[in-house]
Amino acid sequence: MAELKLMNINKRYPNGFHAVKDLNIYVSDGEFLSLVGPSGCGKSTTLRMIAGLEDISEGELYIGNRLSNDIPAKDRGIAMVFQSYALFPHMTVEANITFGLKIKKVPEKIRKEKLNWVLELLDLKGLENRKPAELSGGQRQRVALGRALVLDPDVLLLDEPLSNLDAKLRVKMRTELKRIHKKLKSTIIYVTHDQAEAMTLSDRIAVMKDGKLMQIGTPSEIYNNPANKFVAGFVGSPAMNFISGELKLIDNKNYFVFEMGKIELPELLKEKIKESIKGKDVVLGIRPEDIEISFEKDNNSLTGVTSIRETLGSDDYVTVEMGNILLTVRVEPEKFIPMDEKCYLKLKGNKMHLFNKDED
Amino acid sequence: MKKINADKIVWLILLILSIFLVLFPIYIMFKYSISDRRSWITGGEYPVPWWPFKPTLEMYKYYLGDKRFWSNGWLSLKIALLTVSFSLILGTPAAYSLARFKFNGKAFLLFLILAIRFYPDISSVIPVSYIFNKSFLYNLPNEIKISLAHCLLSLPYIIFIAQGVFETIPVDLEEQALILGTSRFYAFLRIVLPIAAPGLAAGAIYSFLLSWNEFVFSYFITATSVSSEVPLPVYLKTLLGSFSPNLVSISTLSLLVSIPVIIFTFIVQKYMIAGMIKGAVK
Repeated sequence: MAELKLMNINKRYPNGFHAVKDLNIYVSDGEFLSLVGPSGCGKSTTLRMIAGLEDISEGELYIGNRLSNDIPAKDRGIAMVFQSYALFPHMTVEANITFGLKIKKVPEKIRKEKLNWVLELLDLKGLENRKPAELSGGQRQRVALGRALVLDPDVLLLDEPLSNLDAKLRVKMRTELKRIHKKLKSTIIYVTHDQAEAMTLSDRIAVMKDGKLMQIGTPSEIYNNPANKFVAGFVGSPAMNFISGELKLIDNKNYFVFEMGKIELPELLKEKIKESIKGKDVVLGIRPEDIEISFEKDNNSLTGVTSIRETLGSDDYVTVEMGNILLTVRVEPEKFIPMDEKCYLKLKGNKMHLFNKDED
Repeated sequence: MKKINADKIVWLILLILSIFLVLFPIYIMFKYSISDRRSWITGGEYPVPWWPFKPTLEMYKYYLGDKRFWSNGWLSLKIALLTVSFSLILGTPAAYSLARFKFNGKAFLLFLILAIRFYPDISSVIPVSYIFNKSFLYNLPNEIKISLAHCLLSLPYIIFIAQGVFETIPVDLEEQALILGTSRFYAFLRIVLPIAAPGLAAGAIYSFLLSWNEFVFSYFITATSVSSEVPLPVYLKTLLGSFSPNLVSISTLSLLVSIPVIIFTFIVQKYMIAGMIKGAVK
């Protein structure tokens, strides 16, 4: 187990493409860190640089306390699980799992012990002599994980390991991964584009976009205090509602004003307003669960028309139209909400977010 | 009873027709090889029969007891196996580089590799025999000279086939091997080659056939050689017109020549298991 330090890491490809820009991340020993972002954001490139499969153009990478930029992949003390699993098709499960140990010339007795430990841990007993082609998707995934775990890596790198599984299996393996991490306390870097996966699994999440780190923090920090509009929109499902407008000072009170109305901003946002946004176009963000729908007029509420209700089982979501603006509002599943009716929306003051319109 | 549909019948007819097309010349050869004299020299008095009047294995006995046949056959076998080995040893790494590494002028290089095949063999034999007869290579044993010449013909195919095979093997597998601690060469040897084996086997069969049946290069290279041993196709040529009854003789020899090919193909076919890559990814 080891800590991991990325200091001003940059990746430039020969064709000039700047894939990763000034990345600074510190991962402490035993931490589960997710790198999330849309495809092409540089998260996989970052992982491959940590693995030693890509050169680092600029910056320093420390694994443990060792500067690892120029250390070959095999000597970095890492193990990696590829999105494709990359199982060796001509080898049995046993040969796949013990491949790395054989290369490292681990004595057979210890190899056997580790194999059994991993078969046990990942519930693969009885499959030792099968070839990958004879395994189900979930089993292949676990073999790939097992092949990495037997090496006792200082840092375990996982590149979208669950994305090839069907939805049900994915949720199961998610729990499984969490259980394994809890048991082994390994430092894990987990790349995914699925924010839900990142939220449930990670100790901390690093959100990336266009090669830049947007925000790094615990899942609740990321969810409750997104640093910018991009992070706010990327994390959470259904996504946060955004309304474009501007800030105005009316009677010494801060108001958010947009085409369909105005809303008084809470004291809480005062600092933020002062800081950077004043006078500029802004975006107000509010999550579906932070809006209350009612049919009685209230001070400081917005007016809209209910239009569609979607049922997810545990929650229902109602789409409310305000002119061209559509807002998603979470409602209790049992609650009756008439459609195509005028309604009033109350935004929870302490849950409102303000973002700069120009920045992502 | 199962319903017979028209589609199936058409396919069946086509299949029978193609089998017939392939086998008919072999049947003719076989018929002549076991013909007695009266069955092929008819003097126009009666038609050549579809089956010999008195089948005989005379010619087979003759050749199987003929020292020249065995020594020439052994030479041919050595040449064919050397050709397969040389072209795999040279062609596989070349194909791997073409499949895996990005570099400038790749397309042009591929084009150049095929260059020798732009001409009929009878034209390219001029520079080839020049190289093997007028340089230090002249002193090499015949089997080396001829198999090297055959490599010129088989390499382009081996490289093209192997490149295609390597491109189907995900890079992930090699990267995973690297992370697990292998060198790039070891990963190639232990991971890539075994997976590529079926495809490479197809290339091997092809170059074996090519070498075994090749005439032009062999003929011109052995023409200046002091050794009297020649590959079987060249031997076959020397029999034309010099031996009587020659139709029977040539048919017999041709059929005998095909036997090692069949054996080789059967051995190598074992490796041509489809779906080798299955289960590697996803």
